[in-house]
Amino acid sequence: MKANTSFFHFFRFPILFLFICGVVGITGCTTPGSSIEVKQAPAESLARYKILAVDVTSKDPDFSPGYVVLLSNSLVDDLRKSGRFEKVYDAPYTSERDANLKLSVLVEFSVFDNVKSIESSVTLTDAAGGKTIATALINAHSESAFLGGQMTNAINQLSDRIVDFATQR
Amino acid sequence: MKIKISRLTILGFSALFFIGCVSPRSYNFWGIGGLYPINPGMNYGYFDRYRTIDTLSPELKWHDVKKPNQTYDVGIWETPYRSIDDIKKKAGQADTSWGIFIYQTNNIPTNYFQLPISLKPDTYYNWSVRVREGNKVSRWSSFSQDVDYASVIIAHNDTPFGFKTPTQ
Repeated sequence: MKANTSFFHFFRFPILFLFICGVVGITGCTTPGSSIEVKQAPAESLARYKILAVDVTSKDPDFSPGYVVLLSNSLVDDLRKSGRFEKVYDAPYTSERDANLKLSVLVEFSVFDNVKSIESSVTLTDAAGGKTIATALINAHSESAFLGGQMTNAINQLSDRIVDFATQR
Repeated sequence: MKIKISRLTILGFSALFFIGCVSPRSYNFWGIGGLYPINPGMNYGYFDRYRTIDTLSPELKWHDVKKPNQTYDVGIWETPYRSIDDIKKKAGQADTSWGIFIYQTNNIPTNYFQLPISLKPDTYYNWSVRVREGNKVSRWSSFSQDVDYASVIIAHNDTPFGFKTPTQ
């Protein structure tokens, strides 16, 4: 189920419309970006973890399963390219269970306005003992554009920041 | 043709716009055959439309519109909102999900229903009711809320009913 929003009466006052366009034109120059707030830093080096399982979920239905797959694929690709781990796989789509480190990404909130944004909580867990090793809140957003920024750009920003967090030694 | 716009006119429109931003007016329009919530009620403000209730298992009550051979279905959705700020952030979206569907029951003969489950504390929930006649069901009831920012009216359509559970 979806609620929808529509805008009208914009053209009742053309001067006001032009004024709003001016304000938006001046202030709407956002470029893609991301931020991280580390809630729990690793107490010891993560160098001994060699096999990583990635698990992405969303509690915001606006961030649809298609976007979950995009983020998951981007993370797995980028983590493999980093060369930090001997093996990286997408946990929900494999029967492999040999990971000693688990990267859980929960998309808490997403906004599909002109600027697309994602707020997520990220957890690194010792897969053998289940102990939480590190946690962080990581947010990312797209650029602003005349026809709206691209969610894929926000996803790429988020993926880059999560990879930085997961590949720390 | 030369159009003259005085500085005073521009200043006046700008002032109107900013005053409108500070104190927008909201109007609720109830839809789907006059179905609207009685308990918990809704506030007349899009951002703070969710009233905080005092229990995790509320009794839901709505305006009775069914005919004698009809019953009601009730559905509950858990939203991702964590605060009014989140509601503001999503207010500009063209489409917003009602949330994760967590509970549904059907064939309710009355216009009230005591929720048999305990909801999460400090959580924003959406809920809705639809009319059932055998296997035929109506759309889930919703309402439209227009917010008037001076001259710009933003219409939020297909908005479900909602409430926020207490912090425990």
